[in-house]
Amino acid sequence: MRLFAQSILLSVLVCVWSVGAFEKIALVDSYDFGQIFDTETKTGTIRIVDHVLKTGADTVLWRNCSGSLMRYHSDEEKPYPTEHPLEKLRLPASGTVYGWMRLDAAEPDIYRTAMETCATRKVKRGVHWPYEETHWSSWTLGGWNLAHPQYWSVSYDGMPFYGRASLVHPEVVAHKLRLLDELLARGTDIVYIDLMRNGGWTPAYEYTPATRARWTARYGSEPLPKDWRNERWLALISEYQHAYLKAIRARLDREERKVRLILGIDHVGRVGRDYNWTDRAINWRKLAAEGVIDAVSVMSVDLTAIDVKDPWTSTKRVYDSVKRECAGCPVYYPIMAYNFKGRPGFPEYMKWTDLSAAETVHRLITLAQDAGGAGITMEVVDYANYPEPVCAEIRSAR
Amino acid sequence: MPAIVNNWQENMKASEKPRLPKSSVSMRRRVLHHITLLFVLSVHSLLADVRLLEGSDAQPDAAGTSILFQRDTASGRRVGIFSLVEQQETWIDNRPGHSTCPCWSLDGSVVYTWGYETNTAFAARGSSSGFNLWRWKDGMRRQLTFGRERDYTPSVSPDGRTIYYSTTHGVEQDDIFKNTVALESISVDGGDRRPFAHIKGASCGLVSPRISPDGRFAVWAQIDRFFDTWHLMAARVDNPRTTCTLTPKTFSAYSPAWCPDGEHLAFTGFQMGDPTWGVYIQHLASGALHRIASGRNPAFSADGRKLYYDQDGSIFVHDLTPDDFPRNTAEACARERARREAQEAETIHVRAKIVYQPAQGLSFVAVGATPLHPLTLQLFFRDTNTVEFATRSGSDLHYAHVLRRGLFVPGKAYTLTGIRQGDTLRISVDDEAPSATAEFGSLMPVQEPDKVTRGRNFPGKIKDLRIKRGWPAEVPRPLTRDAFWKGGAE
Repeated sequence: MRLFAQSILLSVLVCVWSVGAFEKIALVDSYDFGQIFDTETKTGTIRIVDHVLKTGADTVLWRNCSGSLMRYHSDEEKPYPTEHPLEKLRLPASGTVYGWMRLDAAEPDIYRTAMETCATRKVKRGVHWPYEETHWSSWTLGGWNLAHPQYWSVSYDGMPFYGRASLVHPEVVAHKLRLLDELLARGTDIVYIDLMRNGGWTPAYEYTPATRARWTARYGSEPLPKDWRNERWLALISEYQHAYLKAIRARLDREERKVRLILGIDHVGRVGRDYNWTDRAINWRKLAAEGVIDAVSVMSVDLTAIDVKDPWTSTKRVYDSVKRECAGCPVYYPIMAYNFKGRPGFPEYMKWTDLSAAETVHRLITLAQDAGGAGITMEVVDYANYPEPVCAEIRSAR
Repeated sequence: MPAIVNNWQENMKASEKPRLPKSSVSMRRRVLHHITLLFVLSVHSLLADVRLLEGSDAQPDAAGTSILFQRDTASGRRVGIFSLVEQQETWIDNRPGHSTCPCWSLDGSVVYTWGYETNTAFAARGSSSGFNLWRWKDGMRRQLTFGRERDYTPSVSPDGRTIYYSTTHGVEQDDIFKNTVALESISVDGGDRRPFAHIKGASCGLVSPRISPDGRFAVWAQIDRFFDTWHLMAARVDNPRTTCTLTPKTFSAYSPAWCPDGEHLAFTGFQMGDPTWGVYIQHLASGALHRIASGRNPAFSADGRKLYYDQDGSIFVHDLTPDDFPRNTAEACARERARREAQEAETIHVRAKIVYQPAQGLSFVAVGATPLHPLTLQLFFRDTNTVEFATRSGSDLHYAHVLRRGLFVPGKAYTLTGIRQGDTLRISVDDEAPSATAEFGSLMPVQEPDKVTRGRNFPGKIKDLRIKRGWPAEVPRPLTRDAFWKGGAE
């Protein structure tokens, strides 16, 4: 009971601390700018930041990796070759520019440059850290992952899957925390964990020996569930994923400055299943209630939750439900320039409503404010994908 | 774990200090002590693998006097020759950049990959240099392949005439990820470059081709798609389309190396429960496996008595014993029996020759209905990048499918073949060896549909459609081990 009360108090304190101007977060993948700017240079990095700021963003969250291939001089990854084709397990990409980028080796350190530039521009800064270890391609596999198959995910049938080193292993958690140390040393003030980007991983790949052993310890001779969306299976996996996020929280709390931890949740409001639970085994409500996270960011509203004849009301319903379930934790709502599968961006809202892009974004921002949102998250800011009228709406949002 | 024993003679010298005063120990006891020590050290050197030098990817020469190796240095990766006799290293290529993947040629020359990228990717647009193959002999270098490619993991055929290697050259860059690697061959002089083997799809590749001592067979490491794991494949050199999978699905395996006896293969492997990557030996005829040690990148000595491998940045040598060569284990026999049964299982296929045009939403080439389920068989496009073949699971009639990603070009002709063999689903595009497979446990009974719907929401043309029992003759069929090693022909 005491712990519960403390958690509530902490959540309220965090909420109070976070109350302020309507925040406009830009998630930035510098890789996407590769054909426009030289992303492996300081000049190119600065140009990306300045381009992003034209959207009206006051917070820039910079992606730190492609899969688990870091985009800065990582000591944790240093022992392992990253340049293609020096590692036989990593198929090289071949596209002009994209296939030859070496963001991990660029001088000066790209991530540090991005953070310093944000500081110079007086905008809030941090990392956009996808939950994945691959970006659906072999070339994005990090060296630590490839060197440690003993920590890989495993399918029900026993097939090792490089898609993710499992968080059931303390060594994997320690590795992630060392990566976090590197980011903090480079000026990260916000850690945004993105549950949308999973690189193919789901709880279907958590049949590691360690997880199997946990199952056996708890349920004896009862067979492992083949259906990876089995409630007890998800609960088991959730335990160590929850522990991982708590470990991140504990590490951030050791910093002298306040470093916020934001969790980006996906397919919110999906009819028929709680996606972040069934497909990520993460209980964001519990994380918010316990004060592990400082904010929740709705990365997308699931298409099944939207009445296309009245998208505003149905979207607002989803926003309100998240706010209610967040136990006072600040919530950010999405402004998405792209439509992803099952996750409509503002282009889809434009089709449903016949409104212009600016009018649509204005409505979405208003919904976010009416729902008591702490701000919006722009997923993702690429080159010129937020047209100027849209940027004007975002800039004027308060 | 191998002990780091550089030289048993050095240990011998160390053990001689300190010495006991002569007066307190009888002569007989001192002699006995030395003999015991010699014996223990000899046994120890037999049991422990010997560390040779810092590096990886050792390749011993035919004479057994030198090994090729590579090493990561502060200025890049380097390839060198280590003399086992003189215990000295000679660098082959000291240029800036990276040298990697060395292998011997029959005449003592060395073939390897070298590349040096000084520019950013953006600045290097239009560059024509990449990671290409080079050949070195007696201090002279010659470039064999050219272009903005990655040509790597070469090996030279036993007759010394042909280099086989992995490459990004000329492969179908069929979607935005552009993450595909194929096999090519080239003459040792750099001419006659030609494709050897490839599979189509995103994030798939064939790496480390190695030719058998008798020159008939090729093995390589392959990954078929993103949700796959690395596995070893074998094919006849004169027919690389018909393949045999060598390693079980529960293994991740790569970096194969032929034993001089032609009957065994060493490789880097991992299965659930292993402490980390390990060096395995497989008996090819039976599939039996034996783990030698933790480590990677094995290579046999020319006489087949030693196995070189690397671990944590050092190269070790292991003296092979008969126990290291597995044969006909119960586990391997059971695995092959299951594979034969799967091969003989009931099979049905759907084959369509189409001219593709995209549609909004799911686009069905063919749907076959039976009394058991209206969607017993489906061959359809999920989107412009994905074709699927589906049926239903046996227990609950849930959707069971296999998919193949690719960039399907409007107006282009394709041949799509979905194959159900027992409980395995496969899909092939343009009669390639079906690289996409899926298993969903028990599937519904194999039945020919009594009603077939063609072209629902498919704006393209269906020029031919066939739904028939049996394996389609046009599509290469994966072979069982028996079929492969005994004949290689279907």
